[in-house]
Amino acid sequence: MEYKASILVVDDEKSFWEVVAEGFELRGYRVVAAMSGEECIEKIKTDTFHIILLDLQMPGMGGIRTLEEIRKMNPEIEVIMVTGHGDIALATESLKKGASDFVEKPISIERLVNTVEKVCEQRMLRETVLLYELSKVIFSTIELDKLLKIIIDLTMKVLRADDASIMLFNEKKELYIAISSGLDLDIQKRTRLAIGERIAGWAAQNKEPLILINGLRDDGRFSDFKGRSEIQSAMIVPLLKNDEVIGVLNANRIKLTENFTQNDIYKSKIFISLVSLALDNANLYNNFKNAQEKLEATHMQLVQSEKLSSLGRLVSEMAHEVLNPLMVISGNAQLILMEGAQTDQVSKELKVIIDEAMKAKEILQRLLKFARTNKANLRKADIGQVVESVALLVERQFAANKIVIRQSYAKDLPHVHIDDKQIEEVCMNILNNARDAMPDGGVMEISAVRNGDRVRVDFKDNGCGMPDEVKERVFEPFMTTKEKGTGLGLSVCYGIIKAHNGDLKVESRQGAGTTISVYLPCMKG
Amino acid sequence: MHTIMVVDDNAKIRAILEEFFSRSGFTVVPASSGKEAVDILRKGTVPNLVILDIKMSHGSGLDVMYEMRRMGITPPAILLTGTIDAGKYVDMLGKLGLSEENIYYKPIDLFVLLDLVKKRLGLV
Repeated sequence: MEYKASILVVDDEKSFWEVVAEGFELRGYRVVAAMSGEECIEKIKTDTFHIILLDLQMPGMGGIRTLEEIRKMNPEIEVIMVTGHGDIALATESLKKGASDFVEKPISIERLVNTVEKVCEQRMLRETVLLYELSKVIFSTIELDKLLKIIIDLTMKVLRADDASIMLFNEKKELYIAISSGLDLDIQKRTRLAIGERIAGWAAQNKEPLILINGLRDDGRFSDFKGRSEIQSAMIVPLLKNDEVIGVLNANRIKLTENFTQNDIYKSKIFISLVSLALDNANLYNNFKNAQEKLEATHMQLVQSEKLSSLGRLVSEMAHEVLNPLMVISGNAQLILMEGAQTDQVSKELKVIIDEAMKAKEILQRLLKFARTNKANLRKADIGQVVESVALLVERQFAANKIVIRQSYAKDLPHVHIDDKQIEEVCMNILNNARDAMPDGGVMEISAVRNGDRVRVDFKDNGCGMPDEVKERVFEPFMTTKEKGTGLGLSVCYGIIKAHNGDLKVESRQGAGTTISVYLPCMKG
Repeated sequence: MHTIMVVDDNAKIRAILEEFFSRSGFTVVPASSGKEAVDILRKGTVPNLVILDIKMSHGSGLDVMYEMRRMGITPPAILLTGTIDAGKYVDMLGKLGLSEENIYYKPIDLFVLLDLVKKRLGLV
């Protein structure tokens, strides 16, 4: 049955509260009576009241002291002091001590009801304002991390909890602790619950909030779980979006002697739905950001492939004899040199012309190599051995440049299906670049591990690294920061790895070194 | 005095090779296409060595080599190319018992070419 509110009448005069009880019950309120201050305190420990009508003059624990005790336990219950004639001073004092209002005996039921209703309205107004403020705060940010922090702080305040945590679902649909106040970091990290598992899991599965008092021992549902013994009472609320569970909110009271009650659940319904809404928004935003990032990456890859294919087309258009003009240049220069009639200076310059013509040929041939879809000779190989053989080749030169090579290959590396020569060229290229990045020496760490259904080989140097602008274009043809570079090395590597259905990735920070990762698919069977 | 036939459809390159080998003491017979080269051969000219550009309209350097074999004329031949990808000629080269390694990409140092010619002619 829905009551308008629950009222606790505290008065040692039976006749008084009988009248009050009847009057209020008729109007749809629930009324409970207590005959003394002590009884009042006992009752509010285990029951929920919105209003307390408290007699100021009572034997034993008087009205003021009872008020003080109530306030210690629950700052929010509305307390209306019932004073006798001439108790104005005491009445005023009680207001200072947290009473909401006072009424003077003798009093008619109508006036009492009016007072109670007025107090209820004021309370609703305050709560509405609070919710408004809460929603402003909760929706102030869409970033999940910041939002979680805000929510946990508010939860502690609004629910008057000593510690609280929010659990969300990971990709495996397990509950994990997304944020907590005051929980042991170890507990936080380790907790992974499936739906239905343990208490939070139960709440998620049944989509029902729970209150647990004094641990799990006495609750038939969870008597075989071990809980945290210092918890006095706990509230576990599933966070719902439409009818779907998106997480669980846990709040614990350790110090506060007043247990969580159904009223706390009721009061926090709106807060909880605000929290669910905000979290859902943040999640959506997160997913959106992830999707955007993936789209960017795919777009970049597409652009790169497009570049590769258009370059391929360009090169085949160049099947025409692009090298002939170079021959004319060098040939004529050589003929002039043959005459012998020029000065030494002119001879020198003629030789430069010849050299540059030859160099142009080299560049063009590397360009061709890059654009050509090399027919690869694939065979089953142990990538560790292949990489190791290249490392052996450059070892001496590296040592001369004061670069130490460290290698570590995982023991259970699956085989790959590769063209040895091409992959060796890739490794060589990467190592040469690394050497150039460490002119004063350094360390090259080469490692190979299994990565899902691929093998990943990392080449990590602690050289000069690359600024972002260079890193973004590192696989482009003609991208070089070296004076004598053709800029084709890594783009050729990229083509080779892509032709192997693998991937080539670069991580780098200027001044901190570079890691090039080569991904190759494992051989099936 | 040895005779070198130079077959290339690029006039400037033909001129350079003609000038160079003349100065180096050879008689040079130029041809601007595979067809012209075969005509010259049929008319009775027998060069001691042939320098052939591969890609030409009206008969490639490889066509000339085929023809020479059919005619029973087999002077040493040096293949040059101005394209950057001779890979497409791999099959035709195979039929002649040659491979990509027998092709020289232009630009070639004239003196390197001279050494090659001398070696092939047994002059070194």
